[in-house]
Amino acid sequence: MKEIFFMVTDILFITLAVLLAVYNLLYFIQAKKASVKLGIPLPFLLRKMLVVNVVLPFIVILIILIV
Amino acid sequence: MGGNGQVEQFKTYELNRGLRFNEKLLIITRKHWFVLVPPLMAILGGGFLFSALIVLLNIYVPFLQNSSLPFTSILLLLAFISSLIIKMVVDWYFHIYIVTTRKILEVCHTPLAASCVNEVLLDKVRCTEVDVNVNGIINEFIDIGDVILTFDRPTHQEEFMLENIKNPRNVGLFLSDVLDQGQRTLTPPVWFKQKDKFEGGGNGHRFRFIDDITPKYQAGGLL
Repeated sequence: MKEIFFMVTDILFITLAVLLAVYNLLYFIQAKKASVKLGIPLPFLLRKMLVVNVVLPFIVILIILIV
Repeated sequence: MGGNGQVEQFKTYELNRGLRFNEKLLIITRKHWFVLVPPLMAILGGGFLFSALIVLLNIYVPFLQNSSLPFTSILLLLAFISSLIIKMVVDWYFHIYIVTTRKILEVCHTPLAASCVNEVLLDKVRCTEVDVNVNGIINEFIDIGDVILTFDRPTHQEEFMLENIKNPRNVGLFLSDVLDQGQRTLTPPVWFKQKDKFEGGGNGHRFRFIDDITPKYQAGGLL
């Protein structure tokens, strides 16, 4: 019973993390496009934060898979 | 004026590309960064509460004590919170107000969700009011407020609001000067529509020529 519970939560968390990563990646691409379209460059810090935001869910997936 | 300083600040943004001949940028501004603080606090507070709940579950539910579930759930929560915060900041960053000698623009772009461009051509409308609203002690202290421009169009009245901007009083004064100057160069309308049904002898909402009200000429010569 315990094993099944942990397996289900792991699958759920990985699914959520993948969805979040995909969303963040699309958001990053759209934000870059918008900055070019509007002629408003994203500041360095914001750009880096967007990249971190894309990478972070993948790190979470890795940790879930390792642990 | 602060507006010119802001134009200098945004010079690298190449917004001049969209300007027509003889059109100059007057103000480019966005909402004050302080508007981000309340939702940021709410997100961080919510995140803290969830984390506390996870820690409590870890303490009081025996079979979770030796598992990695609390750790991974807090990590996922952190990723989710960081996404929300970045989204909020980027949405704020892409919401700008632009005033040129020819038009007033509100450009907002929410990646993956929405985008809007509200534009008022100043040579097509008549600005009747420039109102400045500063509400609350915090807004008064850090100088945030709304500038509301009321335009009188032939068919209806319309408001254009520059919300939660920095230095609203200076911007309001600057805009009222600019719009006043602009309107002096415009030709007055040749007709208008009565707002009151019974105005002008009870003819209903009829269109009337300006010369009927303030005649420049009469039979026999200039008044």
